[in-house]
Order: sequence, then C-alpha cells, then structure tokens
Amino acid sequence: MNAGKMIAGLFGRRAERGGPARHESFLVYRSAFYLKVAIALCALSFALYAWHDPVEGPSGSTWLGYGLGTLGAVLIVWLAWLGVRKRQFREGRAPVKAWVSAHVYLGLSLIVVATLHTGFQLGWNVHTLAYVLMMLVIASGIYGILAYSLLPRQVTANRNGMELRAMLQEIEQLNESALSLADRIDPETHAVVARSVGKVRIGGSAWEQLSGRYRSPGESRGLDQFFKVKRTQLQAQAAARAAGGTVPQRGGRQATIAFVADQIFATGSARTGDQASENLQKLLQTIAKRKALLDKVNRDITLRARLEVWLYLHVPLTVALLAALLVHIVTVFLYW
Amino acid sequence: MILVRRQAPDGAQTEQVVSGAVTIGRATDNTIPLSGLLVALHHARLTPGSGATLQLECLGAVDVIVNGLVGQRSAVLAPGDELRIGGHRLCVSVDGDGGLVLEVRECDPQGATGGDGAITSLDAAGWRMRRPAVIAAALVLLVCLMVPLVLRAVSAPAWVEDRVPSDRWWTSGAISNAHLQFGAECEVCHEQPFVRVRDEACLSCHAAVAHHGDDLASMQDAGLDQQRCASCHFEHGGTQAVLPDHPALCADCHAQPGDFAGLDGVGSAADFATAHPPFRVTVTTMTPTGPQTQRRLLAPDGQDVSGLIFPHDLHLDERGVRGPNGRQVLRCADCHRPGPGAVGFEPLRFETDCQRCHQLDVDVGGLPFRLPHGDADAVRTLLQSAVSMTPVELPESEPSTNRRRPGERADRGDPSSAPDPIDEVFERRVCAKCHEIDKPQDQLVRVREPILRKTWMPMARFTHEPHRWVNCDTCHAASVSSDSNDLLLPQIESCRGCHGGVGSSARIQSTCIDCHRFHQAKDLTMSKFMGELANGQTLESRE
Repeated sequence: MNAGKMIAGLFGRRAERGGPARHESFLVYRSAFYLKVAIALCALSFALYAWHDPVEGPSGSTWLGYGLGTLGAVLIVWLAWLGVRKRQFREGRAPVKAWVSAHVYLGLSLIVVATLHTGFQLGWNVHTLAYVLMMLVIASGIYGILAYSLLPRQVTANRNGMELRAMLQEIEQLNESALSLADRIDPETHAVVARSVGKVRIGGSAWEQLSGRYRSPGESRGLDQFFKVKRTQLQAQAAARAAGGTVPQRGGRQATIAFVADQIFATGSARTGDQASENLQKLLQTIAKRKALLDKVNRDITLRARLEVWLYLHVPLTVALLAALLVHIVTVFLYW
Repeated sequence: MILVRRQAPDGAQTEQVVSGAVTIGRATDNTIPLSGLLVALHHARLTPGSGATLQLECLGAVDVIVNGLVGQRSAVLAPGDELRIGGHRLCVSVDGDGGLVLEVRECDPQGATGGDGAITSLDAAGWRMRRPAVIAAALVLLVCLMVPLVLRAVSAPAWVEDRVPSDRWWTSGAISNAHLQFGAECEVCHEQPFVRVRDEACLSCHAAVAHHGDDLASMQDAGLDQQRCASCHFEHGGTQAVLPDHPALCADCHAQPGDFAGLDGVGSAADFATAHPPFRVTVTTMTPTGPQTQRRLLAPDGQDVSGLIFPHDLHLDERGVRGPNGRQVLRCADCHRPGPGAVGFEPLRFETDCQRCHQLDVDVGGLPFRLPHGDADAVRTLLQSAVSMTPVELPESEPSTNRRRPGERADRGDPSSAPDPIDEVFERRVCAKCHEIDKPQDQLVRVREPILRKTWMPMARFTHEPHRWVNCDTCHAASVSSDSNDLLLPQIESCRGCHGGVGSSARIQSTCIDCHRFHQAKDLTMSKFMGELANGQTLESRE
C-alpha cells in the first residue's frame, strides 16, 4: 500500500467516492473533536512545563508534577473504563464511535502528559515501571489504530461478501462431495482423499495465523501426482474398454496409454462417457475449489488475527498498568 | 474376548462381545461399522495382543489418530488409550474381570469432515486476555508493593533486601552522594509511612547545622519556621540535587527585602547578572577615637586602614627591589601564600614575609643591634640599655657668658631638646618605615597594632582556588597602588565579566550559594531554633 493510500486510510477517507453511506472513521468523528481536545491538552501541558521553573528542577513532586500526574492517572483510569464501556453497545448514551475517538486521542495525549509528569526522571523503580507499562499500552494501541484503519478493508475485500461461517460450511460441503466422488471412483482414491480431508487444517497456531504462513498438509503435490496417475489409469481402462474390452498386451501398453491420453485430452474426458473419469474430473475441480477457499479462509484468519492481536497485549498490559499505577501512587505517599 | 460398547450420537447404547480380531470400517461386514465418509470401507483392524493390549493396524491408506497423535498407521493399544477414526472415538479399557472393553463413541456423521478442528482465531489458538491480565496485575501488586511492605514490617536484613524486591524499588530517583552511605535504608529518613520526612531525621546527623541568621524573631518573620529541611533540600534528584542552587529559594525573600524587617538596609538580590546590589565591604576606618569597623559600599577608591605602610607599586616594580641578594622582582605569591584549601591566604607575618629584606638593624652609638619584632617594650628596653651604655658625647660647651639674650631659651641640658634616640628608632628610623606610629599625649611613642582583615566581604565566600589560573592583576590593581590602605578589591562588574545569572548562556552560570551561605548563623543552630537542645530541653522550658 502506498503512502497516500495509507494516510487516506488512517483518516478514514475512502478512496472510492459516492458510496451511499459515507463511512466516517472514529479518527475524524465530529470533525476530530477529541483530536482537538487532545492537542489542546498537550499544548497546555507543554506551555506549563516550559513556563514552570521549580526550585528542585522538573519532577513529579512539583505542583505541576502532581497536577500532570493527577491528570494522567484520571485519564488512564477513565480510558481503561472507556475500553470497557465502548464494548457495551446497548447501554451507551454516546455513540460507540465517540468513545473510541476519545479513547484514541486522549490515550495518545497521555504520552505528553505522563512524560512531562516524570520531568524526565526515569530509573529502575516502580514509578518508571508504571510509565513503561503505560507506553507499552499506548504503543499497542497505536498498532490497533493502524490495524483498524487498514485491515477491515482488506478483510472485506478478501471475503468478497462471504461470511467466514459460510466459507467453512462450504469447505465442509466440498470435503464431503470430494469424499463421495472419491468413494465412487475406487477405494484407493477414497483413501487418499479421506487422508487429505483428515489432514486438512483450517487456521493454525497463533504464529501461523499472524505470519500468514500456514503449515500445509504437505501432500498437495502428492495429491496432484496421484490424480495425474489415476487419471491416466482410468483413461487407459476406458480406452481399453472402448478398444475391445481388454487391456492391451504388456508390450503395447505405453503406446495405448499415450494414445488414449491424447484422445481424451483432445476430446475432453466428459465425452468419453466413462463415469469414473468424469467423477475424477469433478473430484479434481472440487479439490481445487476447496484449496482456493481454504487459502481465502486462512487469509481471513490471518487478517483478523492481525486485527485483534494487539488487544491480547493492550488489555492485559492495561490491567497491569492499573496495578502499577496504584503501586506508584501508594508508594509515593508511603515514603512521602 | 473383547466387549464392544457402542454409544450412538443420540445416546443409545449397544453391547456386543467379539472374539478374535476386530475390524473397523464403513462397510457393513466390519465388526464395528462406522458411518461417515472419512472412514474407509475397511479402515483398521484390532488384534488382541499379549496381556490386555490390542494391536492396531490400518488396512487402507487412511491413517488414524492415537491419543491425539495424527497419522498413526499401527500401534499397540493398552487400557486408557484412545483411538480416533473419522471423528469417532474408541477408548480401550478393562472391566472388573480383567476383560478388554472397547468403548465406541460415534459422532454425528454430518460433522465428521474434519472442519471442526479449525482454529480460526487467536482465541481458538489458546490466547487469552483475562488470565494474563489478572496474573500481570497480581504480579505487579505482589512484587512491587506486598513483598516490600512485608520486608519493611519485619525489618529484613540488608542481604535479604539485596536479593528480593524491597522498598528500594520505591525510590523516586538517584540518592545524592552525601546520603548514599545509608541510601538503601529507606527508613533512616522515611521514619513513618505516609508521613513526610521530618526535620528531626535530618538533624539527627546534622545537629550542629547553623540557621540562616542569629535573630530568632527575624527568622520567624521570614517564615523560616514554617519551612522544612526538605523545603529546600530535595533528595532523590541525582547526585548533587540535595544541594539546592535555585535562586528562587533566596529570592523569595531577598528580591523584596523591604518586606522583611530583618533585611533593613539590605539590597535587593534575585540574580547575579541582573539583580544584585553593588558589593559592600567591611573595613576599618580611623576616627579620632581610634580604629573603627564600618560596613560600606565598595567604592573604587575605597580604603581600609590596616596600620601598615606598604606601597604595592614599589614592591611590584618590574625592575625589581633591592633584596639581600641584589635586585629581585617580587611576585604577589612571594608574600601572599595560599592558605588551607587555597580559599584565602596565610596571614602576613613579618618573619616569613618581610624580614628577609627588612632586617630590624639599628646602630646605636656605633654599635649594631638587631631589634626584636612585635614587642615594643622589649625594643624600648633594649634600646635604653644600649643608649645608657654608650658614652655620651657631651656637647662642646660654648664659652659661656652665663648671660642670655632676651627671648633666647636657656640651654639647661634638657634631653627633650635633642631627639630621643629611642623615639627616633620608633618614629623615623625603623618602625615607622612600615608601621603607623601613634604618639599619644604624655605617653610613650608606640607602634599602632596592624589590623589585617581576613576578608573584607564576610557575607560572601570567595575561593581563590578556582581562580588560580587568572592573573592577580586581572582583579586586583596592586601594581599601581602606592597606598597600603587602598582596598584592592574588584567591583561586581569585574566579576560579571565571567559570571552570569543562573539562566545565562554566555557566562558561567552562577547561583546565590556559589558566593553566599544560607546556614551562616553564628550561634543559632537549627536544633536550637526548633526548640530541641542537646539535653532534651526546649527553648520554651528553659525560658
């Protein structure tokens, strides 16, 4: 994705125009009202910090330090609560988008507020732990902003109107029809297809989901090879039947196969009228369709995993941050 | 004999006893027919092995899952093992009589296509939010708060605190060098939880620290009784942070000295470069009643009467002065030797600084004497005895007519008419060369005791040491001074040539306490001020 598209995506402006329901991103909600609030907050913090000249040097224990600290703590608690609140769609008085917008911009403003609160006094202690946890939460949140701005479009494009559940159902149906087709060919084909179906894996470990590189069953190529051989066999049998009901003598077998194969490829297997060959052809199409669908499902899983991976950091880190914040505040006054 | 117990998806149970091998497959001729297209027509065979085991063998190309391991083609199944074929579960167990039991839980053939194993989200892949969140928060609370609290409560020894999370983790910043010696023992200063560090904790070591001034009332007037030690001394701010140098700490009173009775006559000061009064000096002036100490502005021609006669220009003559070994060029440091710590200078002494050139030799009646220094009575006694031993040259008596012209004083041989050789030594020949001589009426001539001040700026502290690379005459115009009373001190403008205010970017940033002291009282210590005396009494109880 080029930079221009990326920025357009970031600010929620759709590249394509004229859609009936124009999408408004949480980033530009109410003309980015919360962005303005956050900028004002940062500017005020900067101005006060630049103007303030405390006798002990900038630190968290000046009046400005306490002020910024209180503001930061209130913001953290409020934003954490917002995170819970914005998931409760039914009870919300304000639209969810408003909560998200406030969450994002005020959360980002914490970088300024909390950093100025520290007075750049960092060290190996519980206070810096709280700061680092907060920065990690914000960093994961920034990933979340980017992911929510860029990935949903890719998810939509990939699904092409299909739900994941529908795709999974279709895979199952394709599996079943593949098995039933294979069963109609011969036990050997059934065994191969059944093994393939048994081994098929949708999705995978967290790492596979995130990287998008799924461990393939490893016999896709073997399956192709098998079908090639099987098709040749079936066509040879069909040709033999057509030629007089017997399989040619050993000496002329290769020539026969070659002949029949040419014949089949020239006219199309469907026309041979041989049921097994037709089934094999259908089976091949089914397997190919299943593979394409499987790739699409895996792509969908990857995109959604990338869309939500940050939450698995963001949420636990936030809870840890709340604990660290409590420790920070308690210990500051414990050893006043 | 194997008991096969089948449980259909709808819950219906059937039992059958099989002897010999058990075959499993989709075809109806199997011992255990299983539905579902994932099952081969003849999928696997279980043969009773030695003891309570079953030998598994796959008959077709489709393999099975044994105890969760996929792709198994043969295995020895013991009681407790589980076999999965096309979604169906087969569990091996033994009954009360020791016979093998094969429990078959059939699955719904509709769902037996393998799709149920899909891991379509991170949640399905085993990632969780709640548990890590709870664990992380609990860990933070435990490690950072609970463990240190417990250790503090039980007063754990230092070696324990070195190894486990302790209240040292609560430090808000690096401890100053001065307090590093006990910096790891938080409770030395933080005596009680949730109580700010008390002055008593500071004074337990710094008992003798002086207050700002000796006047109790003006200290209270300035509100200094409301200040804590920690109001100015900020710990946990780095290696030097405990020594406050911010001018606002002084300027809150000294910028408006008019607001405080105790600062009557003191100039307003807030910044060395822009808001500092001209220097004031403490000097000796001569009054009719004798020398007197005065505090006055440092004028360019300011004088301090020392009682010595020492023309600096003569001694610092570039051509040199006559010394015992011929001409010698003197330098400042030849007489002004740096004192301890090179803060100031050693007091000037005759023996070390003058005597080499200025010997106190006199000639009395042709006899050379060396006079002692600093003891006028001894000099007088010595001279008197010397004079008395000298044969007196009587004046040649004029042919006397015993007559006297009117108006002419009669010569009665009165010694006062001739200059007293002793007084002459004092007044002209020796002492007066370097000393002011006093001639009180009806008293003996005497050398005025020199008053050599250690400093003319007692309210400031100036250290020569850091300035030793600067030539003396950059600040002190000694080489052109012919009067030893000249105060050869630089004006504030001279200092400002190098020193700026705290915020200066072009000069040395100079704070109040670079030159001044806060704790400068002579008698009133902080302990006394706070009403705590060494014997436990308070000021009030003493009064």
